[in-house]
Amino acid sequence: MSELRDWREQVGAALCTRDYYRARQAVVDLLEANASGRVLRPIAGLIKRHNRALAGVNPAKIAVLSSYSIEFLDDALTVACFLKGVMPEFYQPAFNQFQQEILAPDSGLYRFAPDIVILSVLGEHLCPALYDRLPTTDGVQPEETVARIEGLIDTFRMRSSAPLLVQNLLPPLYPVFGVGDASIPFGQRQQVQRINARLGEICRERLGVYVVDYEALVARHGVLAWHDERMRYFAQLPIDKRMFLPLASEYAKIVAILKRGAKKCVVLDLDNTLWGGIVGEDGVDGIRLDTTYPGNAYKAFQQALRALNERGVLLAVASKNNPADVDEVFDKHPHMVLTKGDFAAMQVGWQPKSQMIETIAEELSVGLEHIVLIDDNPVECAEVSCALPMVRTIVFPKQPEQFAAALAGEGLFDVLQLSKEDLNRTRLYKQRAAAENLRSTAANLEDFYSSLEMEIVIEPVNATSLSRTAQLTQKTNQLNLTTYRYSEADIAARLRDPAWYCCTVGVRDRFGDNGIIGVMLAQHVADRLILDTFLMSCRVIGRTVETAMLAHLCDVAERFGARVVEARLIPTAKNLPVRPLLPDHNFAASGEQDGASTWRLDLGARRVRWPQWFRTSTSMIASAID
Amino acid sequence: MPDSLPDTVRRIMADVLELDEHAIDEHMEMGVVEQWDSGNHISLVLALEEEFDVSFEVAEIEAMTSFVDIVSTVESKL
Repeated sequence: MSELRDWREQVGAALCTRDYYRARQAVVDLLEANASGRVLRPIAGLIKRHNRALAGVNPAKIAVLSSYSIEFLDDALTVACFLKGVMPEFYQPAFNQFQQEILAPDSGLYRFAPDIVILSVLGEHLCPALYDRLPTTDGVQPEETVARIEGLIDTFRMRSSAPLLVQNLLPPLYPVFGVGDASIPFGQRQQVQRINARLGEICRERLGVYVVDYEALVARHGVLAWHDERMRYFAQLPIDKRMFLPLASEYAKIVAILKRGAKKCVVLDLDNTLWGGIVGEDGVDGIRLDTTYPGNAYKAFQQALRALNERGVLLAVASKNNPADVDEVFDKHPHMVLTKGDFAAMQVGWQPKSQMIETIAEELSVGLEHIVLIDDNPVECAEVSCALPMVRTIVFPKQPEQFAAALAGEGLFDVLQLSKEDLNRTRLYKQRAAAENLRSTAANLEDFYSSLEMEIVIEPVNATSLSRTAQLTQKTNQLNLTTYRYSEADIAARLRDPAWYCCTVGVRDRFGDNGIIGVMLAQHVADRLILDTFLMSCRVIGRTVETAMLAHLCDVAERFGARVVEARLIPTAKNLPVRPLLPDHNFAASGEQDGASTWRLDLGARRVRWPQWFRTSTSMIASAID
Repeated sequence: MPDSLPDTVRRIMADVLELDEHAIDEHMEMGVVEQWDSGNHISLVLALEEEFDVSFEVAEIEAMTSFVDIVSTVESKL
């Protein structure tokens, strides 16, 4: 008990230092000791008290519309969001007001101007007749329910461009046909599943609307364990107290993807992580990796990693080992699932793991905050956390059968939508590494640029590139002048405004297609073209792509009849690399306010010239502007 | 030395009701302090259940409206 108080004091002390990563670790430690509602309340209180002072967290105004007393989950939601790097401010109308809040144009919901809205409505409240009556056999009930949800979603979207999270429905716990429910046509579970299937389609067809897969979440925890029937009737709170944090964490995962983006790279230890035992001691033949326990569990973990890799998550190795031993395992072991080629970077040696991770981050141009270290050794994790607090470390359990759950549990790599680039990313990084090699052999820089055979493709944002465009504004931190985060709906609104010019930039080179790597959003105001967003992926840094982008912008400004290109630089902790961009291209500083500076390029006097080594077709550029 | 039951209850009440521990004495009753409202009463009951690994019936929840009642109700469950 007294230990608990010490931990709590540590949370308070860490919060006072304004160091988010330290405070986060303190909260994690405290929750590991005791995750009950009793500690959630004081932690949430501490977090709220420090909400303005913490560096490294993203604020988010979150509205939670519900058909039950979800306010009992407030503390859990605050803590879950905080653990994901988001500092929430909540708006919660009284329970069961969700329809009024969405339908009335002047409701508290819209006055709150939310960044994210969660619609947590239970099936029995949305379509009671499907739950407490004998279901009809005509299929009308699911259709009616779907139409109601669709109406709410579309009404909301007319009034707000905030991302909307819609929870799907849980079938009745005890269907009226009992064991026959699945055999009978129009059983209750089937009808609810039909609603869920349609809900998924509706969300996919719309911008910025996502499904919270409540049914899957509850299934993972067990439907019976999930509920508290006593509190359902006594306090309009059907969810068991032990499930507050799991439900809040599910919401927080989605909030974090929208606000902070997913992790990009998983750095793995080898011994007792990819295989059982220590290769340096046990030898290639002695490590546990085969078809019997525990070797088969390690093998299954490698398979889970391979699936993540296929989905675009980068794999890397940081291992204290003799490189020859490791090579031997990769070359000779018959049960290795992952090959050397699956890893975008490999650090094997005896230097501290924090150094290995820094090297990996540099090699792959991945921000440290997008890296996760998985290691069975808590000391290694602690060394990395201490040196590089922004790297997430997961100390793996001793039992390999628990690895897959430990990897998936926090949803660190979860995504809400898939872009082509996600699926290609691993291949892209390998191309990039090959380009780097070429760079070191090229005699001079211009030869190097020419030898890359780069071709730039600038296109107005369209339906195909919208999701990638929004995603890039959400996750590009370094080469980003303003770091404005936009949802798909935000971008779509600008596309409809003729004063705005929104384009994507793609680069192909002799190593392959890098896909869309840049975005520019600009607004024409009187004689100026104002650059609202300029961002570029670090993947193509150092190839003068940014010069080509600004040259294109000058062309666009001319088309609009503007005489001046104006740009803003809002400094952040991460956008150091972009700071020389404007002065390097002859923009002149014209003002400063609250740390943000304004820069102007007078097109009459100077403009940005196209780098000669880019292959571009002028027709492509003309069509981008028209 | 482990905390006595009343001490543990007091600490949980302090946490959930966001009160100073010393403000919670033997005479503490629901409704006397504004923090102990019907909503926080539910939160308090759930926190007690988790901490002591017990479950209260609705009739008990409705009756445990003072510090003394809470201690005796918890005691009867252990």
